[in-house]
Amino acid sequence: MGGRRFAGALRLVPALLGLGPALLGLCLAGCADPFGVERHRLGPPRIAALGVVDGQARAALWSGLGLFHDRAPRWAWTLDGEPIGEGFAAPIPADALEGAELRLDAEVEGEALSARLSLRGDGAPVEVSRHEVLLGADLSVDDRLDREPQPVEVGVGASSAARLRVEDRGGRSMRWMLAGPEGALLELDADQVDLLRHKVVYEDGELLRRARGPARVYSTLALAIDGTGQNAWRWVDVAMGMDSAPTRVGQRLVSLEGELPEADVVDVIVSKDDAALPLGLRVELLGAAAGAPPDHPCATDGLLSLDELAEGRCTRDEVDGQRFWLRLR
Amino acid sequence: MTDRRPHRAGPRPPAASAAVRSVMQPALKGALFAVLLGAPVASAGPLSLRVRERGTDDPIGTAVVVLADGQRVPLDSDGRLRIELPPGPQRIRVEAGAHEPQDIDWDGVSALKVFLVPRPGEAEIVVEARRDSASVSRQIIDRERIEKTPGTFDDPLRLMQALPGVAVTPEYAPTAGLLSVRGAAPSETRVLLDGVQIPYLYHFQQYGSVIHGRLLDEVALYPSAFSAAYGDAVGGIAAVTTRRSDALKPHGGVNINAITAGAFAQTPVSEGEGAQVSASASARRSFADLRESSNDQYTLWPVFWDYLGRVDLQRGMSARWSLMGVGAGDRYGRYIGDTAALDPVERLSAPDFQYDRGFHAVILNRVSATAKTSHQTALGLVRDDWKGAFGDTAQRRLESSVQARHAVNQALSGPWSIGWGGDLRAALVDREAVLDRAWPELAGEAPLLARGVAVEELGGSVVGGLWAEPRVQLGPLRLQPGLRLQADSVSGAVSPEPRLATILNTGTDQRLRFAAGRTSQSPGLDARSASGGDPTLGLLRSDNAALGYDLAVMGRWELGAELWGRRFLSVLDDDPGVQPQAMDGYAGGLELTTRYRLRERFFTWASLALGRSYRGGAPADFDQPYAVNFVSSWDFAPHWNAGLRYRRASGLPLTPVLGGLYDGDTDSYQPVLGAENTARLPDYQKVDLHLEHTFDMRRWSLVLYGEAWWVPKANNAMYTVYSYDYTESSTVAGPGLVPLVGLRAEL
Repeated sequence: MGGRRFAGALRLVPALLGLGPALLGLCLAGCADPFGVERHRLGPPRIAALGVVDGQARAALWSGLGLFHDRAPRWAWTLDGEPIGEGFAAPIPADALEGAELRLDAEVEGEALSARLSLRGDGAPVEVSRHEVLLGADLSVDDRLDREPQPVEVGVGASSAARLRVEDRGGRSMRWMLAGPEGALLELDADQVDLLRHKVVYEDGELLRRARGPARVYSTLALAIDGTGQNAWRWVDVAMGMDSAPTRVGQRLVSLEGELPEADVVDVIVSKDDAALPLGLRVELLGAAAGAPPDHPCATDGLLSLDELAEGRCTRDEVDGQRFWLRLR
Repeated sequence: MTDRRPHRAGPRPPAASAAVRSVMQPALKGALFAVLLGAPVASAGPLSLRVRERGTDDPIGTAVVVLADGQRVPLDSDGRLRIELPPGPQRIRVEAGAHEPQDIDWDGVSALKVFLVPRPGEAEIVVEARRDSASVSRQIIDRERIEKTPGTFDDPLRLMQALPGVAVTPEYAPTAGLLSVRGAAPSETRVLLDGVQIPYLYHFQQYGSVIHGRLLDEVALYPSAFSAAYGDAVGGIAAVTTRRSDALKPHGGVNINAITAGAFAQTPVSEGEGAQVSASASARRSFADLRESSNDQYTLWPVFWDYLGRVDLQRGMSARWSLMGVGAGDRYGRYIGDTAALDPVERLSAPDFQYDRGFHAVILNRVSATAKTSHQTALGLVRDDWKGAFGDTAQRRLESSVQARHAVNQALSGPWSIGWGGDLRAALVDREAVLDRAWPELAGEAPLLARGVAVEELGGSVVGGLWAEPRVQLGPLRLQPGLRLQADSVSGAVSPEPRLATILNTGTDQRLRFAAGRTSQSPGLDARSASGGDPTLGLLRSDNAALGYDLAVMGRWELGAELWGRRFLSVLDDDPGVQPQAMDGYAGGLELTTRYRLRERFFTWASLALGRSYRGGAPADFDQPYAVNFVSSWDFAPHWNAGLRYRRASGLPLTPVLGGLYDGDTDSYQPVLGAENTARLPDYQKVDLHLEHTFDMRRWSLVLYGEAWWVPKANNAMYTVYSYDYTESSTVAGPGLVPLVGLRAEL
């Protein structure tokens, strides 16, 4: 973020006073240094989402490193002050009252984080579709709405932006967050957001500049909230400008090493790879899944969830060199 | 008597011949016409003379014409003279006591109009401490200091923060216009305009006062332990007095700066044997909205206006009436929240908050005096309409009040005298709030929405007091015990409030002052509302004491010290975001002042205030351990004035934010607060320079002034803002250097 940040909106600063001498180009209405964090970008460690999934308290803990954790997070779940668990997920007691306060005190990469939620039960799942759209120099809402998007499965071309559209918002509000320092999310309306490879800098609402980011997978977190605690979220990857298309694993994208078999579930070995951001893992394809599923505490019925890795269920060390199944579709 | 305007510069040069304007055209035309017709030209005629003051065009009724033979002929009260003189030119002299004389070579024909230049008066030393007052703890800002102090932006009420005991707040900050007096909360100080409470003193709480500066006469601040004549305030009393029109002819002026344009006028209406009637009026309006209707912050550009109209009636020397209408309005629209953090889409759907507040008041004053008794009466009708809305969420608070105040001062036998009187304020408050949640971010703009409780109620209150204050002068000692009975229908309480004031004159221009007393204040209908308030709240109270010493060195250089303390009992913690609750507290401090003043030439004052204020065991919101103020103004040459104002004060307390709690319901963060008011903004300091030049035309004057305001970077902190998750903070700074140029033209 560049320049000084106009902060007048936070209080009724007398912007009036600045009118006359504003010709001098001074900061006359109240200025503050820019912040290093913004809520549309998953920067330092943070609780990115909180809700109830399949009757269990769950949180999306963002490590600040990428879609993985290198230090095991710590969870302490309470319901109206009573402890209910200390793990990645905590079952909600059957007699829990609706409206009770669910609280999470977590430690992520050494940082203490806290969150609360009104207990309302599971939120309806949220589904997101990808589209390719060619944007012009004008990034205004009106201009972007005039652009015709084309549905895509995996990614978009080097000059295009991706339009993510939530299909089943159901009156909920969407919050879009971008993983990593590159790229930009520009909301279009209540259902859609444009994902750009460019880093876009605005100043006082005016487009100041944009800088193109690398061709790779860009990851976002789409969070649907209804204001009462029935939240749902989904990680969505988009390949942007990549020559070789990665493989879809649910809404996530993985560059699989090896020939892809005709199977919904495949057998893989994962290993740490700092160069493979934002996933942080190299995935070697062994073939179609067969036989007994791998028995590993980081997997459920042998299936490895990339989303759960992103949210802190296991560290990279815990899955490094291990064999798992992946459900591709 | 001429109307001497106090802004006039000091010494004037001797009159120049150009100051004489010969009104020759008609006479010359007549003479030329006579020559053309071959008729003899008149060799002499009557001398027709008008004498006026240069710059104001006021008639000088005290002028005298000295003829060539030494005969002195006075002018009439309108400054006119018509007299038959022997034929032929002659030299005459025009004199007036307070003006430079002029010698004029009269051609024996022409009518003359003479403009005399005011003579610099004798330097009058002003010793404020000699002024008598029923309240021994008092600060005064009079008209001269109102108009000549730099850094006020044509707004004298901003000068109140230069007085010792008033917390210095950063200019432009949300707290900029708030009056926190001796550790009290701003809501605990009453502002009286000609004896009547008005809803607010500053546009947008901070920009500028709602009264045109040219129509202000005096601002008196009673910071604590005040006379029994005042009540319903546990903090202080700010008594603002407007200016009575004493113009002999119409006066007026226009002023314009970067934000506001305004005008005022004063005029005599009639001057009869028994009654003199005069009128004053002013109006101002901001004009920025005419250039820009909205931007990315404001959906409706802020606009404010105010007006004042006043009629004065004087019957003889014993009775004076005034009827005044005054009002102000403020309006704007803005996005709620930090628009810098909003997406374009969010910005479109961000609540567009519309603020609209205004008040109108009618105030009737009567002052009468006989040799032994004086009466002062004030009656007021005030209507305050406060609206705030966005979408279906809205608040409206409509308060109508009738106010009356009467004070009598009677000289009794010997050294005894007594003051007594009463005041009453009956208010009807209609409150309505439609909302679905609390909006604490609107605390200063829509308190009903900030409180977050839907309300629809109509309530009434009567608050008043009766008081008596006998005074006795026993040699060098004046004793003034008093008692006030304060009643409040809201809490149903009657509070006897003893007061005491004493002055001991310990020598020439030396005196020791002591005052003590209890004051109370109604909690008000809002705080006691069954909807969002606490109906069990009782009277707020404070016990006050002040001990002061004044000394005038060599009869001119004043030094003063005042030690004060106060205890707060059951005062309100009225954070708009939470239910009000009562708490106790205390405050104390020492104020050192020094003053020197030559009227209309030079004045300076400086003060150092040391003090602390605690509430509920924590530093109060306006706890300010020290504040330094220095003000100086000097008419250093004819028509030139220069001024300097400096202030430095410790930063106001703030509650540290330790982090943020993620609220999963709304995907937002709530601050995790540390111990209340245990952090502070940086110390604040500001320097204001002022340079002014007055151009006296014959019938009007033009004042051109320039100011430079400077706040060092390290001291330029208005308030703290936080990142969305409260992990980072940043201080919002105001303008560092503000150059200003303004114009004032006055007739």
